[in-house]
Amino acid sequence: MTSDANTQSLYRRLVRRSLHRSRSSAVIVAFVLGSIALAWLATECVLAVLGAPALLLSPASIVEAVNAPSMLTVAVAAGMAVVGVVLVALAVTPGRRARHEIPDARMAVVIDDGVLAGALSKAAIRESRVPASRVSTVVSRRASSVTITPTSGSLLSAPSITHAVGAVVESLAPRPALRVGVAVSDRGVVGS
Amino acid sequence: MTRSNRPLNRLGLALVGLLFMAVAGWIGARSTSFVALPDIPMPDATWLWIIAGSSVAVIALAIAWIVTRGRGRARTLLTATDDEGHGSIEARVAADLISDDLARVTDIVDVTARAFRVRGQTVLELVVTTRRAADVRHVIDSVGRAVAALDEVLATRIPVLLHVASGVRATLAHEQRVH
Repeated sequence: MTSDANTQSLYRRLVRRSLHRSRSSAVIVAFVLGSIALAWLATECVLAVLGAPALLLSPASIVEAVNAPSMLTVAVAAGMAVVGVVLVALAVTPGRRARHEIPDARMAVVIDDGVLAGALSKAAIRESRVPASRVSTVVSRRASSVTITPTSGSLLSAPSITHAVGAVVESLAPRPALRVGVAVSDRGVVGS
Repeated sequence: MTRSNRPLNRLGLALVGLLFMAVAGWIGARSTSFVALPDIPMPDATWLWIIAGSSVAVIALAIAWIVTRGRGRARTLLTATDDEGHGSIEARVAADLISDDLARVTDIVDVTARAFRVRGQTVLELVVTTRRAADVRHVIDSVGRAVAALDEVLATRIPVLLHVASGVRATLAHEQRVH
């Protein structure tokens, strides 16, 4: 048996780790590629010591290429700079996942933004009675927007749809909180 | 929910990234005449062995790093000892109990359960895949009831992490419509 406070802090940790990437896959890719490059470098060094012909470039020609860079060397360096910037960016950025936390008394709950968008769409479809294919919802970290294309000639009441969608958001109370935006397109579509 | 050391992952990425940027910067500086950087001397046999040896050492470190990712999975959810002996429940059993309970919820396409050791506690992670336009409140409440039933069976409350996911199967599954 664990105390309540203990479980709460465990849940906070679980949710925090669910809402952010572990970066393990990025690390694995970077390290595997780096290891292949180092294995090649080590092989070239050993071959040079033994006096055997180089696989691609001997250590001497690598040093020469760095000391007097040609256009090709500079191009390779530019490529390395880009990879370096990407890796540092991966390390420094928060690495948020498209997920929200849903408060719950018993469990730690996280939900993919795609599922949340589906739930909001469902509420809008029910309220507007428009076919599901003409309702689309985008959920980002702090805002959600529902776009509805009405059937020509029928009037949709945006406030009532906003109310219905807002009720779903309120019942779920996602964290971080979501603003609700409903847009009804000016142009309708003919047909059911 | 693995136990991978996340700050260490950040550190590893930053180190490799900075190394790449440093090499690129050195070559860039050598190609212009703004900054005077010394020539790199031609390596002799000793230096070549040192470079080869340290490359192998770094490769070994990288492999060790990679294989320690994703640890923390547990097979056993609960172990109980009393006068009559020792009993344990596997995570799979709990998964089956929860899945059976949720079989009738039409919005749920798939349930998977895994156990993890986090901070010395066993946590049950449930991944529930839903249909595209699902009633999420209903899904969460249903899972909550299934977990309450599990609590009663186990006579204890195991920490539960529920992940409501949209998956490939969710996109393929057709929305249930009532005409």
